[in-house]
This record gives sequence, structure tokens and C-alpha cells, in this order.
Amino acid sequence: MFQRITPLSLLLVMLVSLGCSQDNNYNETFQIPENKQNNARFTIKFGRVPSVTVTELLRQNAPLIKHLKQEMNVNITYRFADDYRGIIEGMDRGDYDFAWLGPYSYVLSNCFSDTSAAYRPLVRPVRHDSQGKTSDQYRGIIFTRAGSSINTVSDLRGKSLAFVDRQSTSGFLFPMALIIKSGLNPSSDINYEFLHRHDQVVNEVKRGNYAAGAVYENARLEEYRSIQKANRQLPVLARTSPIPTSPIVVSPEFSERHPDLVEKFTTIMTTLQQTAKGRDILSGLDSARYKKALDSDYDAVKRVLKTVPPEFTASKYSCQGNPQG
Amino acid sequence: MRHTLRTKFFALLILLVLLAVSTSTWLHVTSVRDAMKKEFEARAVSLARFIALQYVNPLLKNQPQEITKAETIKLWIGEAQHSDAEYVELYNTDGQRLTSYSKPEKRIPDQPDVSPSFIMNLLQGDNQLIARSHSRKQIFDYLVPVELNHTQIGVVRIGLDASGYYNERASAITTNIQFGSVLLLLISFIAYVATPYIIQPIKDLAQTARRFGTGDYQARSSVTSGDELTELSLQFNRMADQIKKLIDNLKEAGHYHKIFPYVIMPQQLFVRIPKHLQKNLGIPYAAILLSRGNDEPQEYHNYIVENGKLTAIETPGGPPKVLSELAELTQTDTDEDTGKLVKRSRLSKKLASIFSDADQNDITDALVFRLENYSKFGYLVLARDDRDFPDTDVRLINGMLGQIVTAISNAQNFQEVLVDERSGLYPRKVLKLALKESGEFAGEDNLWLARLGLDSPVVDPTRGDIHLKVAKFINRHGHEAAPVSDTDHFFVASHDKSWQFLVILSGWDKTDVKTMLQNMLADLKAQGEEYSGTTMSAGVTPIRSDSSADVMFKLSQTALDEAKNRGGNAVCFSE
Repeated sequence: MFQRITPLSLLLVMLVSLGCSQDNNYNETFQIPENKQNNARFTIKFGRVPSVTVTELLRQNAPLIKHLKQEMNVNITYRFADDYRGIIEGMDRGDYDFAWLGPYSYVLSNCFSDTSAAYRPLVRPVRHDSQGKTSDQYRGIIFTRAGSSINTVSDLRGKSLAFVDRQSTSGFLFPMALIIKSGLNPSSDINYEFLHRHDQVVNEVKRGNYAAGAVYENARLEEYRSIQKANRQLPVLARTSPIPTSPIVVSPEFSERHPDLVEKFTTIMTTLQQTAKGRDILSGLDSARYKKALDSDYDAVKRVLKTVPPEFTASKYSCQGNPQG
Repeated sequence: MRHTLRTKFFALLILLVLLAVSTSTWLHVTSVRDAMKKEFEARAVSLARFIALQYVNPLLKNQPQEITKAETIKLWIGEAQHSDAEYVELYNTDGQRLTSYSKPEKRIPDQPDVSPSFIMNLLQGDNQLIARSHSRKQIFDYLVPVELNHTQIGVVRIGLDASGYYNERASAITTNIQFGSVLLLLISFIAYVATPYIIQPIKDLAQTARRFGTGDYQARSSVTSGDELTELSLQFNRMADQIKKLIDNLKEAGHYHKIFPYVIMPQQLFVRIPKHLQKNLGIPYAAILLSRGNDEPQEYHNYIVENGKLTAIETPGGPPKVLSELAELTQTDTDEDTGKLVKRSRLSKKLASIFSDADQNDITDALVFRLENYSKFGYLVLARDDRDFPDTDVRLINGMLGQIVTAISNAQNFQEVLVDERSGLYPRKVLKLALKESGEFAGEDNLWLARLGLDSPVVDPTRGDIHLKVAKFINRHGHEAAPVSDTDHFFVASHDKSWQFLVILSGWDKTDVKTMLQNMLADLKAQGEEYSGTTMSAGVTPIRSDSSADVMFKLSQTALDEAKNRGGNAVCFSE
């Protein structure tokens, strides 16, 4: 019996010793699979110009992103650009699958000569306007500081103006159209600069660094929280014509490759208001609901664009003379 | 190689300790590994998140050339002693490396794979992190995807110094080996002290067996350890008892063997053998069938014992009918294996007819052994009416058969060679030898030495014919006086000096000896005128084991002299 026990026991001891003497390979040591791909998900890239800081925007959008990830079973990431030009350049490179565009930048991207197939608008928000009614349009304003001598747009002659961005609809294109309409020549009668963010424009005008500024209608509420107080402190000189709300667009490549995801995205966005969770998300996005967007919705923008001389827009993105425009 | 029990016991203990220590080490190392795994991973994840959140803007904007802030990262991993990160790299969700920084004099390894496709692949999975090792064994390489508000913002690669883990593991192994060594010493000591208590009973038993094996049949084990060894000891003692019994039986048989040629009349031997087979093996029916010739038996003396009682001595007169059948059997059914076992005779139950009591249908099993040396001279027939013979009996009887054959053969031969054919008396030398041997039975049997002396005023003492007649008379009378059914009685007579006879008597008590001798003397006197005036006296002395033959001869002479002084036909005892 001894002769049988001895080799058996030695074998056991050797086995146990072997268990203690593994090599220094981490994966063998800790037994972690190299890359668990059993639930691999497709990643969708959103492109956006942050209206606030990047982290704040991510925080605001978190409920929507979470909802989209769950419903579409995808991963979502963002690509940010400092301005709409950057977004359009990113679209040019194919950086995004979906992008939040301003109405103006949508029109610009749509008539972008290098793009063989245009980015297609999918949805756009319907918001509560200042009167509490829902509307799929908004307006830009030209405002000044309380106590200034400026009462009309014409009074801006020789004054300094703060705009948001050359591709901004409410922060540049529509107000500029008003100025031109009022008979002022932008290149000679006013000084203007781009501050890239609506809140920046509000702040600079408030501080007196600029005589007036152009922003979207509710931008002053970020500062004053009350439209009455905002009107007192930063009175409105003029309101632009209605602007269709900003579209979320999809790239032609993505649309072609994943029509199901596009369809799903559109459905999710347009039915958010039907559930309590969706309504929470919408309130975080300052919207009442989302509706389907059509290219024709932005004809108003195209019309206004034609009233602004090309030298006041980035020439590359101007649709002036473009057959598509 | 010879292993003693103690060595084996030690070896087993050492193996068990080694096994225990190895298992303990393995468990310890496993627990260290699991704990360190969690700790390292938690550290990697928290560090990665911390760093990534400093760089949300660069990670989410496509401006890699602008966001390398190695100096800032340096703060998180750099020369700070509390941090064990060796290097840090940041990748955006497109898999582009945005920045990398390592501790001074540390090189960031290119391996394992950090290609954009690998990074993007990683981001598509469910991984909290993945961990790899590379050629620098002392570093664990972690890739940690980081999310912020459900949005993937990038991947952080961190190299963590793994020496802590390996040190901890080495320490666990060392501790276990040290503990194991102490345990081994302790257990060895305990085993050294304790083994005698365990092994001693076995040694005792072995010693007893050795004593028994060397002839001390009284040796018995006295192990009372209260465990299986006690049972073994008990069984050993039982076995020893059985062997002792068998040996005693054999010894007794040996006595007969020694005595038979000289002392016991063959017919008594022939009765005794079946009797003892019955007595010791519990065989109800036993018979010895003997021929007087050397050829195939034609004339038989059949000594048949049934249930311990001699039922028949058939004097010569031809074989019983059954024996002719037996003769046929022996020619056809010789058992090759046992050699001497001629027939195991369930087939020949008719053999049982030799036993007067047994209905042949009652016989369940019969054994027939051929008794032969140079020529066939008989058969030993054994039968049972209760069950079959166990194999042990067959083997035992086979083993005894040689002795039985020798004894019977010797008895027959001596009877023919040594006994005076004219008178049937043994020579004095043989009687003296028998006297010495029978002394061993003294105390068990009634053993006597009788000296018979004749005095005749008319008969010429030199007339041998008269002497021979007297001798024949004594021999015949003695044997006739011995009860047929009692094998303890025997009567051995021998010539002594002129007109004197020496007789060994067995089986009669003192009174019976006297009566028997007085009857014999009276009968002799009544033989006729030929013995007119002849007197015969007897002097008897008991045979003692502590007396020599010469002393007993002298004592018997003294007793005879006294008897003669009392007058004719007297029997005197000298003790």
C-alpha cells in the first residue's frame, strides 16, 4: 500500500506546488478575459457645439443619452467643436453620425459644395416660448444695456456689437439681416465681434464692453431668470423674424448603413413626451417635444441668408450662387 | 528497500504535512491574489477616472496636438511617492493617443496592443477595464474606459507597479513554508514519541507469533489495546488454540508411532487409529481394512469403529462384499490431485454398508484413502451422516496418512519379524524398550509390569518344549483376557530368564490385574498332569515414568520372590 500512497501523495504535492508557482502573467494570474466582447455595442458619435461648458452639457444631456443607450443598445460619445464652423468641418471629415446644428449651420452644411449627399434633418424641438405657448420657432433679439442712448436699430451706427458666431442663426444671421434691413452697412457703420457663446454676449453687453448684442430670445434668462428683469436691464431693440428650431441631423453614410437605427432614433425622439421619463428628459432639454424636421422647414433661413451679402458670411460656407441654395 | 512500520508511519505523516502546507500555501496565495486583484483594479479605475475627468475637453474635441499636458499628468503619477503609477496614456474614443507620460527613466512599453482598433474594440465591450502584463513583469498594464454622464469620453492606460503584489505573494509563501517547517518538526516529534504506543501492540503480537512459530505453543497474545489489534490478537489466540490442539493430537499420534512397533499389538493400533480420527475430527464412521498379504488384498482384518465404539474386528476370512466394489473403484477413480484420496464417494454410498449402524442412505459423504507403502495393504474408510467433509479435514487426513501408513506398516512388520513365531512373545530387548516408552503414559493408564515365574519339581527346566507351551498359553490367555471392545487394554509378553516371563499390562486396575493373573495361574495349573506340581507366581510393579527399566525389573523380581515365599499361585505387588 505504501508503494501506492507515495507516488500519489507526491503527485498531489506537486500539483499544489504548481498552483503556487504560476508565472507572472497578469491574465493568468488574475484570470481576466482579455476583452469581453460578448455584449459589444455599436458606438454612435454625436457632434455638437456646446452652448455651455462640455461637462455641464454632458450633465444636462445625461438623461437623454442614458435613455438613447438603453433603447437603441448603443454606446454614445460626443465630439465637440468650439463653433459651428468646427462642426461643419467635422462633418466634412465624417467625424459625426448625428449632429446638433443651428438652423443656419444646417443650411450652410446642406449647401456645402464638397458634400455629395447632404446631412438630413431628423427632428427638431418644439419649445415653450416666452408667452408659455409651445412653438417650433424662436427668434433672435438685438439688445442693449439699460440706460444707453440706443433705442432703435438705426441708433447702432458707429457702435460696437457683439455677435455669437458667424454661423449662428439667432446670434448673427437674422440680427445681421435686421441691421442691413434698417439701412446700416455692417462693414462701415458698425463694429462687431464674435464671442462664440450666447452667455458671453449677454455678459459683455451687460458689462458695457459692447453697446449691443445679438443672441437668441431667451439667452438673457440665463443671467436674470426673469423676462421682466431682463427687459429692464437689457432692453430689446429688435426681434428677428421666426427661426425654425435647430435640427438634429444624420450623416448620409450613417443613414445608409444603419437606417434602422436612424428610424429608431427618430421614433424615440418624437415620442419622448408620451412617457413621464421622456417628459423629464424633455424638460431637461428645455423642450416640450420633438417633431420631425424637414428640409423645407429651413426655407425661411435660406431666404434671410440671401439678404445678407456674402462678405458677411464665411465665403466657403456661403450658399450664395450655389444651385442647391 | 525494507520499510519498517515506523518509517512508513513517518513518511505518511510527512506527506500529510507537506500536503497540508502546500494546500495552505495555495489557499493563502489565492486569497492574496484575489485581494490584490481587487485592490489593483480599484486603484487603476479610480486613478483613470480622476485623470480622464481633468481632460474632458481635449478628449471630446478633435485637437490632439493641443491637449498634451504632460506636466499636469505628472502631478498625478509623477515623482510623488504615494503614487505607484509608472505611466499614463490618454486615448480618445477614436483610439487616438492624445498624451502619454511616464516616470523619469521609465519607458512606456509599446506592447501590449494599444492600436486605435484595439482601443475602439475595447470601448464597444462591457469591460470595466482590461488588464494585461507585458515583458516588464513587474508592471500591470490597465486600460480603463471612462464614461462621464453615460457618455464615453475615452480610455486611460495606466501602468501600475506590480512589485507590491509579488512581494505579498512571496511573503505568503515564505510564511507558509516557515509555518510548515515548524509544523513538520512538531509533528515529527509527536510521532516519534507516540509511535511506540501504537506500534508496541503489533510488536507484542509479532513476538508472540514468533514464539509460537519457534515451538512455544503455549504462547498467547495479551494485547488489549481496545481496537482492531485486540480483535486480531483474539483471532490469533483462537488460531493458536486450534493449532495447539492439532499439534497435541499429532503428538499423541506420534506417541503411538513410537510405541506401536514395540508395544501395542497391531490390532489395538488398528482400532486406535479410527478411534482417534473420530475423536479429534468428529468423524462418526471410520474403518481400517487391512490385508495380510502384499498383493491386492484378499484377506482382510476390518477394524470398524462407529461413534467411538469398536463394533467389529473381522478376522481373516476374505473381504466384505463391498471391498470388491472398492477394488473396482480404486482402479478407475484415482484422485490425481490428492494422490492418496482414492475416492470421495458420494457415488459409492454403498461403502457405508461396512458400517453396521449406518443405513447407507444416511451417509452423506465418504472418503476412502488407500494405505500403501511399497504395496497396497489396505484402506482407510471415513464416512459422515451429517454433512460433507470439509476440505480442511481432507487435507488434514492426507497429511496424517503418511504417519498412519508408517505406523501400521511397522506394526505389521514388527509383528512378523520380532515376535517369536512359535510363542507369539516379543524378545526381552523389545519389551525393555517398550517399557521405557510406555513409561510416558504412566499415570494416564493403568500400566503394570508383571513377572511370571514357574516352579516345577517334576519338569526339567531345560525342557524347552514345556517352556514354549507355557509361553503360548500366557500370550493367548492375556489377549483373550483383554476386552475386545476396549483398545486401552493391551498385553505384551516377553521371555526373560529361564522359566520366567515379563508382561506389560495396560488397562486393568490393580484388583483386575490380580484377578486376571490368578485366573491365568489357575488355568495353567488346570492344564493337566504335564504341569502337575508346577506352581506359577506373579510379582507386579507399576510402571512409572521416573523409574528405569532395570529398577522396575528388580522390583518385579522382589515381588515375585515374595509371591513364591507365600506359596504357589500367589500374586504380589511391589510398589
